[in-house]
Amino acid sequence: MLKLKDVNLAYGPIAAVRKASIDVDAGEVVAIVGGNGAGKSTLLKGIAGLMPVSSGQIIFDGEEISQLAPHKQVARGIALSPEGRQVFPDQTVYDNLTLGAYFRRLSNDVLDAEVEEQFKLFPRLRERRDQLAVTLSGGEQQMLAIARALMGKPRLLLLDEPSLGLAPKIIQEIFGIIVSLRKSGITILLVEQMANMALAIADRAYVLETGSVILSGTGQQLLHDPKVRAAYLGISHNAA
Amino acid sequence: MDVYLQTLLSGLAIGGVYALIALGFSITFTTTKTLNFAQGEFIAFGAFIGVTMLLLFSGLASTTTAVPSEAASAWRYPAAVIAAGAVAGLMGVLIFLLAVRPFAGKGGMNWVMSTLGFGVMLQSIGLAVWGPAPVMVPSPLGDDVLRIAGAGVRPQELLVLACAILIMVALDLVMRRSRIGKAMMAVAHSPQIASLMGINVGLVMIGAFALSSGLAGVAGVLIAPIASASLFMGIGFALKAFSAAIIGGLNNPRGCIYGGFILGVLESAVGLWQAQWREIVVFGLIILVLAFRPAGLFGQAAVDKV
Repeated sequence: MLKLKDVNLAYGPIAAVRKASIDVDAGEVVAIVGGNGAGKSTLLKGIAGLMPVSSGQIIFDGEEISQLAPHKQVARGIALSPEGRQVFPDQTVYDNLTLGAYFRRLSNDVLDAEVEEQFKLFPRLRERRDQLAVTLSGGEQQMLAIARALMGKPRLLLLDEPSLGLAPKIIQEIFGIIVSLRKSGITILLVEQMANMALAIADRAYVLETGSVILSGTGQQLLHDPKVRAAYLGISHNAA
Repeated sequence: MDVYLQTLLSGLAIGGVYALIALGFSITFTTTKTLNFAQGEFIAFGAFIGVTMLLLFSGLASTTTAVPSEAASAWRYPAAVIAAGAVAGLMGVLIFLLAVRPFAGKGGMNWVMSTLGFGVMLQSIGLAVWGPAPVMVPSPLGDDVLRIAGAGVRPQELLVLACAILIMVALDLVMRRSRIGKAMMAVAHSPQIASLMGINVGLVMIGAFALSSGLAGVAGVLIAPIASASLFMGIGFALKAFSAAIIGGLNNPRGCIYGGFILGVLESAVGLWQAQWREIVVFGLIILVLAFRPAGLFGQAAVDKV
């Protein structure tokens, strides 16, 4: 479904992603794990069109999309729930959700019905329907960011660090939702620093280090890989 | 008593004009983080396009130093207002594409110079077309002073106030209720995130400049019967409107409107006391306000939960 071929992304002269080649098949949950500054978020920004691709190809459903403007990517079926949630703080939960479907030009009735679908998935948002997004807790904002992305009816959902800064209980809840989304047939590309959780739910995963893919395999393989365990799961074998 | 009411009404009328232009500053600032420093020339251009339209609609020669009062009667004045708004709006698209977009979002202040320069060019073009002499413009409601509770009011002042309020209420509704308004708010918060919603951010920014410039054009035709049309009229209005936007808080459209009215009434009130002290007191107060409230009276530093 999504194929990255030798993709390079750079902030001016500084390379952030080097020759990344990644495949995501329809119906899969694919995780990209790695430390701070490994280039994970940059990679998602590149796919969503927020960062210009300096070289390489991004192919979605057989078509090259690496030069498309971001507002056209979303119409093709790729939605990004960005790092740090980035909900619109001065607008209500309802308005944030409707903005997620902005490009689809739905009638108000259809829009209400689709917002209701999101409320079924995220019941806490229903209680907050008319509150400004700035008043929500971090976990609620994360749910809103994901729900807002889903309002674009994406076939590929890009999730950037959904666990960032959240309490363990809320993280469990968010990951539960990701699993149920996968059951509903949405393909998910998940970027996470919480490598253990991400690998546990991922079909396949890539490990990114200073902009390059250094390892790939199924979620379970990587979860039990000694190098991964030492570097990203905080489990050291040579502790004194 | 009458004289106070009179002062208040003319202060509100001129304040309404400041508010319209200040709102224009706020619209481009929130969506593109840039300002059109040629706004003054857009006001003057608006006034002269209005004049030209009034003459054209009445089948008169296209240059004159005083527009006869029949030329502003019936449908002609409203049509001239709309035409001036539309032409100024188109010029706003032009200034965005030529002088702002190449520099916006790249850091630096090149857009300040390029919009100022665009304004200087506009003024020179205006002088070549219409000449330097001011033109008297009649009010569509006539120039007989009305008596309201003993206070003498020019009918044009009431018209300006009514139009300004009408336009601003309509815009406020559009911004808060319509999808395009919410999309503009989204772009104001973050162009990148807005683009993830499928919003064509470039188009919204063009629209913001068209709207802002259109407001300046409309303001020019509204004020022309009071101040008379002159290619040098704009800078004073634009500076006051900019001050009003700063007092009210550039990122708060409603604050800018309040700022405009406050400045207009203040100016009018000081003028009642000592006309030659007007500018000194007004700008002194602006500096004082900013010393204590750097984000403006109604502005607030944005706080985002991380």
